Amino acid sequence: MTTLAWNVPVARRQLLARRGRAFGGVVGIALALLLVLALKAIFAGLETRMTAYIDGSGADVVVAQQGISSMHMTESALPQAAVSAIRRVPGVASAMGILYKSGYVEAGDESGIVAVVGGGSLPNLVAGRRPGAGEIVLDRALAERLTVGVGDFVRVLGARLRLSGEVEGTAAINGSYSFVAYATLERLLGGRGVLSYVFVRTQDGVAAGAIAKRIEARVPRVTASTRAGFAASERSLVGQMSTNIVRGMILVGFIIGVAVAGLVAYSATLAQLRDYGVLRALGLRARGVMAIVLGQLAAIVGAGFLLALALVELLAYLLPKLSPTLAVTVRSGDVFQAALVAGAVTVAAGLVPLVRAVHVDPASVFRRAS
Amino acid sequence: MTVQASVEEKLSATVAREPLVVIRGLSKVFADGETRVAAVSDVDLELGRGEIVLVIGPSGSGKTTLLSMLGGLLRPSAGEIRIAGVDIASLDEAKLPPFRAETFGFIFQDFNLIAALSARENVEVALNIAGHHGAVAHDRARSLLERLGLAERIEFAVEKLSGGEKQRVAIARAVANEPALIFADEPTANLDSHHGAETMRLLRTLAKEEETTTVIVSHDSRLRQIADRVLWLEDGRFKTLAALVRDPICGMLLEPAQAKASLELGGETYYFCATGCRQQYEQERGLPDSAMHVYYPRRV
Repeated sequence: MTTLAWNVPVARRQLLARRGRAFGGVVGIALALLLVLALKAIFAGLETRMTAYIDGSGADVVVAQQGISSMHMTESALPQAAVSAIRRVPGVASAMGILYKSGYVEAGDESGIVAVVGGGSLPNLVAGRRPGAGEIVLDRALAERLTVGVGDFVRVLGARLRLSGEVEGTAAINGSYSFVAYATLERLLGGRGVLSYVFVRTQDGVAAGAIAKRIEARVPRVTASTRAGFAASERSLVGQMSTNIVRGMILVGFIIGVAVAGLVAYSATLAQLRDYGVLRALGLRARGVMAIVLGQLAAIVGAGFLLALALVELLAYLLPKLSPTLAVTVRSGDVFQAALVAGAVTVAAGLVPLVRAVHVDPASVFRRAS
Repeated sequence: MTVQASVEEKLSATVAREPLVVIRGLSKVFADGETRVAAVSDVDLELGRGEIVLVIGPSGSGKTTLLSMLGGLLRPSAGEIRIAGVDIASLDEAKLPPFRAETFGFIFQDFNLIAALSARENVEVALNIAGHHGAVAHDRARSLLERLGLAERIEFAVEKLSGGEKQRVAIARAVANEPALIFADEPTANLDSHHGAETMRLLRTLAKEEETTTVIVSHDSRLRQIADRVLWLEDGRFKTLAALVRDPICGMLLEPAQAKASLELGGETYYFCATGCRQQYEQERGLPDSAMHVYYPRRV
């Protein structure tokens, strides 16, 4: 005799008999999980934008001032001589110094935060050309917000520069990259004779990690990171900024999810208590009732999870169109985390209804229905 | 031979074989703090296979408690309930549900059908619980409903069925697993007279055809007609009830004083529910149609 191998899908039938409540539960769960998924996706998008320049720089190793392994929220200063010292390290194919400075770009009444990069390669140029002397390349999202196009002038770090081109994919809600010629930024910074970072390419077949260690061993007072390590360090900045917010939202999402799912499951259980009593009287074991209650709850939470996934994908499509600086990236790890939250919601929300349903007195079926 | 002796002899024919149910010293006490209520007290009872027993009594007499204990839904405080040799009063908790599924069928006053399921599914779910699946359960549910005159309602949502149809679905569910025992709690209470009579007929037919012992708890005196035995429960104990006699033609139970006709023959008195039954009895035995033999009891 079995209690779980049903032919008559009691759980599904009961769920579909009260479609309104089930649908409300699904939407509630979806919104709760969307809180978690959307926030994670927005921060993931921010990370992608923040590391877009480094990811597209072509460097295998990034060398910075000792103790520094990121660009944002820090400042690195290296002597010009560091470039030639790095070039002499065995296994280094090329080394190129760049300047980096955070600042504001202004056009008319509009302004925006920019990371100005002097020298190096340009990522994803979509309009115009590389910047010459007295020129700048902005991210298209920022240019559109400033309502400027190629040929227009903007003010950066106190200087008036002509927009020579536009790139895509570097604008984030906390600022975007802009690019000028090395000499231009050196002039704007007062010609201090220092550079910010050195981008290093390794010779074919030489591991970037090994070169980084070799550079640190041979060039004094520098920190050398592989490109992946440098990007990870950049991402960790976002992580540090977002951890508490994300944790808070996961907690909020979890609580809302449990509240919605719990309410739906409990009200459904109360409404179906007599059915459970009848099934128990007919010989269904307690675990059979548990399977029905959990099955219904899992169906609601599962459908809510799928709806949340669909909604976050919709957000990932729509948000960048509405606000180009906002990137939304749905990562499989975040989806897995949301699935775990959904699982936890199912378990937590199911506890009270399960206890209620399992302890229904089968003899109660002889009492008159109220 | 006395009337009581005649009744006992007739009943003994039904209960002649080993009883299906043997109850000894059955008691149930509900305790709440200082308050103790004895709902059923020291009840002894034997039920034969295929016997239909009607338990009547005032509200609060312990009928439902007795039914719940017999159905393995409530643990007695003391006593034994042996069903086909198995004492369900001491049966392991884990073994009770499958025992219930295989041995008992339940019919309730409120029908207690699952509203989310169709008529067929309500019957099939009982088969599923008892371990019958797939086409076997599906076909059995269909054929039962067809047999009970619900061929056109098989896939109907139960809420769209009339009270009589719902009760027939409930009966189909109760007999689906060919149980040895059926417990019916006020099976006609929510039905009009027509559907009540139909339900009674069905219960009797099924009980006799399938040799299913049926215990009916009811206030409905009409159910006496189909019962082999009527028990009066009061204050948790069975009390002596006025002896009933069975019409030898149609099998209906009668109180002698309310019989429409009777016949004294060979020192015995036979009672009939109608003069037609008496006439048939006379014809079958080749008795002369003599008014000399006829005794019309005084109406009470």
